[in-house]
Amino acid sequence: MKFYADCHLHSYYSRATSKQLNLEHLFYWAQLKGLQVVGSGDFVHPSWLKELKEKLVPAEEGLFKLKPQYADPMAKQVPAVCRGEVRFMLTVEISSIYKRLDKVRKVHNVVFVPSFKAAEKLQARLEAIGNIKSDGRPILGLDSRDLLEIVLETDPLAYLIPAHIWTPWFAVLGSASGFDRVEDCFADLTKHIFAVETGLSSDPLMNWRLKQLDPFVLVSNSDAHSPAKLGREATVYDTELSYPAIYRALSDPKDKGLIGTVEFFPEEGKYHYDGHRACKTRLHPKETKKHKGLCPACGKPVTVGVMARIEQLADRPEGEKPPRWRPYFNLIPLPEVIAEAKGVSGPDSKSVQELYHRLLAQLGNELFILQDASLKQIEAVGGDLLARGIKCMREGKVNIAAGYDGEYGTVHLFSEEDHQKKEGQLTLFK
Amino acid sequence: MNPDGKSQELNASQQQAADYTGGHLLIVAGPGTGKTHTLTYRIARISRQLKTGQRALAITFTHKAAEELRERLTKLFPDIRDKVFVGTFHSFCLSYLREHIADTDLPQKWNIATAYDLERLAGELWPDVPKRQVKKKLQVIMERKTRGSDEEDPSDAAAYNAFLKANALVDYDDLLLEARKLLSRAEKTEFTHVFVDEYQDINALQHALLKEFVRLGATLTAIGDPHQAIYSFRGADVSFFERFAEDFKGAAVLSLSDNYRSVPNLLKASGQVVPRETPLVSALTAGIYREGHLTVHDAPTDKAEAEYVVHQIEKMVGGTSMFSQDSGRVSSTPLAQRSFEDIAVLYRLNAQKSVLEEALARHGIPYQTSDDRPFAELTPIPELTVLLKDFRGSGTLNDAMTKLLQAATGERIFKDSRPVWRKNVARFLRMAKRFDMIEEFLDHLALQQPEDAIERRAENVNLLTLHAAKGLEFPVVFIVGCEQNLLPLSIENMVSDPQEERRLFYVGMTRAKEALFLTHARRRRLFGQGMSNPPSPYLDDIEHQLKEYDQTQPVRRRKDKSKSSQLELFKVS
Repeated sequence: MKFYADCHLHSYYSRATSKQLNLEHLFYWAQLKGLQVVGSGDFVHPSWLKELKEKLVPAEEGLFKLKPQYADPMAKQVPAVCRGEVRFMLTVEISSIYKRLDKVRKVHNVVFVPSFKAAEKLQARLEAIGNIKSDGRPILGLDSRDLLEIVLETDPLAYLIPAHIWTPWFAVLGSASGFDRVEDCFADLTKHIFAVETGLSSDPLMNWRLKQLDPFVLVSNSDAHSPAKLGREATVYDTELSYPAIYRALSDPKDKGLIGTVEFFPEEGKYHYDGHRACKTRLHPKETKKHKGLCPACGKPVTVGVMARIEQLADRPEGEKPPRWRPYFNLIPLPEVIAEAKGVSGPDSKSVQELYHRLLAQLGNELFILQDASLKQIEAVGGDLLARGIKCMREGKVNIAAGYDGEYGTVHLFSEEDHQKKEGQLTLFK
Repeated sequence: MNPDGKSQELNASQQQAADYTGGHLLIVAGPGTGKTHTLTYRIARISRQLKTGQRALAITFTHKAAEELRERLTKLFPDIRDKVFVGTFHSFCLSYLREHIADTDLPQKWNIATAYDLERLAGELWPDVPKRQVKKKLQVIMERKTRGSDEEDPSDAAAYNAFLKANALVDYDDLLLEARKLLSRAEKTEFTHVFVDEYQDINALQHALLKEFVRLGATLTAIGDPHQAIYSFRGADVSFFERFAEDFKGAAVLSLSDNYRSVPNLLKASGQVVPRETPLVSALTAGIYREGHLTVHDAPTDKAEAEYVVHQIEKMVGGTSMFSQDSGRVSSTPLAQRSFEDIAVLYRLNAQKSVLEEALARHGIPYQTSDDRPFAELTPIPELTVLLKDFRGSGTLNDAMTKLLQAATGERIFKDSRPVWRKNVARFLRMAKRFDMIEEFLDHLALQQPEDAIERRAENVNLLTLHAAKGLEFPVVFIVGCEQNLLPLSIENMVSDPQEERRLFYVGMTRAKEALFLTHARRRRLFGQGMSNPPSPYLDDIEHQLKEYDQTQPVRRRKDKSKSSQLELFKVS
C-alpha cells in the first residue's frame, strides 16, 4: 500500500518544542496531515520511553499503534474524511559534537530501531556515555561513526540516517561544522549508511548534483517541533506496512518500495541563501562571493547557506539526474497558502485556521488537498484565489524570498494584481 | 633519534637532560616544559645501552601517566619495550612481590586489601568503636606506615596488622614496606636505572625504597617541579626534592624552563602567583607567541557563577543546539571553535561540583567528573569484586566473568537502573576484557586511584578538582570559587598549608593553554551553609593589565526578550 511517513520529529521532552508533542496529538495531527507512519522521536529519553511503552502496543512487525483508550477520544475529533490508521516507529535524533581531524564537528543523526528491547539497549549504552535526561534530543560528545557502531550493535535492523545533511551548523555536510564527504564522517562504517535526509533547505534536485550521494536514497521528514508542523516534508512508500519492509525499501537498491518525497520549496528553508540574521543581510551565493564572504553590514563572515555549500561540493551539472532517482513534489504548507490568499501575515491567525479546518473537514487531509484535490472542490470551499494559489504551487510558479542564517523564507504566490482583484471581489460582497 | 643519537624533537636543555651520563640526576621541569617528552627520550637512550639482564624502572604518579609513558615509549622506540618496567610505586611493588613471593614473609596466596575490605575488617576488629573513630584509627596507622617509621607498633597497629595477616591481605602501604624489606635483603638488582616522575610528591616510604635501589647500585633520575607539590596531606614531602643533591651523592641538577603549553600572558600571570622563595627553580620563558585570554568574572552567587561558565562554554563550542544558535544565544559567526574535551572546569572541593553539574545538565552539555573515591570503591564494584573472588581458581578471567554474570543475573547488582550504577558495572565489564587472569584483574582494580577514574569514551567537558587536574592540560580552563576560604582553603575542620594552597592554584592556572577564566561568587552554599567570601588574594597577585574583567550576567531570557523574539522560539526547527 502507498503511505506517507514522517519519522524525524520531537516530543515535548526536547528543548524548545511544543507542550502538545505527545502521542495523542501526534496521532491526531498525523491524520489531519495524511501520514500513516510517524516517528516517536526522542525514544532515548527515559520518561518519554516510559510513556511510549505505556501508551503504544505492537501493530505490524516493528511498528506500534496507540492504545484504544488514548486513541479513541482523539479520533472523535478528527474529521471523518481524514480518519485513518496511524503507526509509530521508534526514532530518535542524536546530536554529536566532537573533534575529528582537528576540527569541531557537529552532526545530527536520526536513529531507527524495531523494538522496545532494542530501544532500551541503545538507551543503556548512551546513558553510560552521556546525559540523556535533560534533552529529548541528547547532545553527546560521541563521534558519529562510534554512534553508528553502537546503533548497529543494538539490533540487525537498527539503522541511522544523517539528519538534514546540509544545515550549516549541525549536519554531516554542513558548511560550518560538517565534512566534505559522508565517508569522512562514517569512515569504515559508511557502507551501513543507505539513506540521507535532505532537510528543509534542499530538495532532491540540489542533492543530485553530488555524485558522492548516489549510493544513498533521499528521504524527507518534518523535524517538527510542534504537531502542526508534522508532514511538512515526508517520505512516500509503496510497501507492506511494516518496519522490515521500510528497511528494505531504503536499504535494498533493487527494492521498489520507496516512491519519493514531498518537500518544502528549498528557498523556504532556514538556510537556503547565505547571510546574517542579526544584520538582516540576505545574500545569494553570487552576492556573497562579490562581498568576499563578509557581511556588508558588520564585516564578519556570513553564515554560508545550503545553496552555496552544494555548489561548492557539486560535481554534476544542474538538471542532470543520477542513475537512481526518485520523484519529489514541492509543497507549501496549506495554512501558508491560505494566509497568502487572504492577504494576512500569519498562518496561525484565527481566520486562516478556521478555513484550514473547514477545508480538511470537507475535502480530506492536507497532503491530499495540496497534491490531489480537484481545484474546483478547493475553489468551492476556499474560494477562487486559494484554488489559484494551489494551482501555482503545483506548477512550481512561486515567488519566494529565500531563507538565510536561521530565518525562514517567505512565500509569495500572488501578484499585487491578484490581491487587487480580491479586494474588488470583497467590495462586490459589500 | 638520529644515527648520531641526537634528536630534533628536543631543545638544547631537554637534550642535555636526556643525554646526561654523570650519575644521579634531578630534572627540575616546570609546567609545559616537555617533562614527559624529555623523560621518554632519556629512558629510551639509557635503556638501549643496557646489557643483558639489566632493566630500567620508570615510576609514575598514576596509572594513567604510566599508560601514557608506556605508549610514548613503544611508539617512538618499540625495541626497548621489554627493557623497561613502567608503573606506579604500588604496581611495581606488587609485581615485584608476586615475582619473588618465595623470598617474602607473605603467604603464598594473598590479596590487596581494598578500602572496602579495610572497612569490613576494621568493623570486625573494633566492633564497638564508632565508624568515625575507626576511620581515624586507620588513618593514624596509615600515616605511620607512609612515614616509614621503624618504631615499635602501637597496639592498634599491631592488632590491625595481625588481622591483615590472618586474612592473607596486604594493604597499599604494606606493598611498599614489604618490597622495601625484600630489597634491603637483596645484594643486587636487575634495575640499574630508576626514573621517578613527579618527584615533588613522594613520601618517606617511597624515598626509602629508592634509597635501597641506590644502595644496590642503581642510578636515579628524578623529575618534577617543587612548585607543583600538592599532596602533603597524603604524606608527600616536597623537601625530598630540595634535598636530592644531599641524599644522592654526586647528583646533578638540570632545569627545563621553556614553556610550550601556555600563551605568554597566561604564563606571565601564573608566574606572578607562584611562590618565589623556592630555590632550584628558574622562571619559565614562553615558547609560543600567540596571545590568549585571562578573564576574571565576579558572580553574585555560586549558581550564577555556574550559569556563567555554561554560557561561556556554549559560546565557545559555537552553540550546542539549534536553539542556542537560532535564538541568538550564541553568535552565528564562526568563532574559534572548541569541542567539549578542550574545556576543563576546576574547583577546590568536590562539594563545589553539584551546582556546576546541575547547570551543565540543564543545558544538555555532556560532562564527566573525577571521583573523590577510587573506582574499586564505587557502587556496586566492591560487591562485584567479592563475587568475582569466589570464582578464583576456575580458569581464566573470561570463564570467571561468564560464571559471575550467570550467577548474578537477576541479582540486584545488574538490575539497578541508576545510571551511575549501570555506568560502573559497564566499566567493570569493559575493564575485565583487558586481562586474562583473575588475579591480574583484581590487582588492577585494587590499585586504581581516584586520579585514574576519568575514562574517555566520548568527548565531555571535564569537571575536576584542582588536585585531579595535575598533569593534564586543556585549551580552556575555568577555576571556579577563586575566593578567600576556598583558595586558600580555610573552612572548619579543613586545615591547609598556605604554601601548598598557593601551589595548588598555580597547578590549576598552568593547566590552561589558551584561555583561563578565574571566577568567584559573592555568596555561595557549601555543606548546607551559606557563606560570603571576598575574592581570593591570589587574584591580586596577578597584575591588573593581564586581567580582563567580564561583568556580563547571563541573560534571563524570558524577562528580557521582546514579544517578537519570543515568537521566534516557536519557529525553531
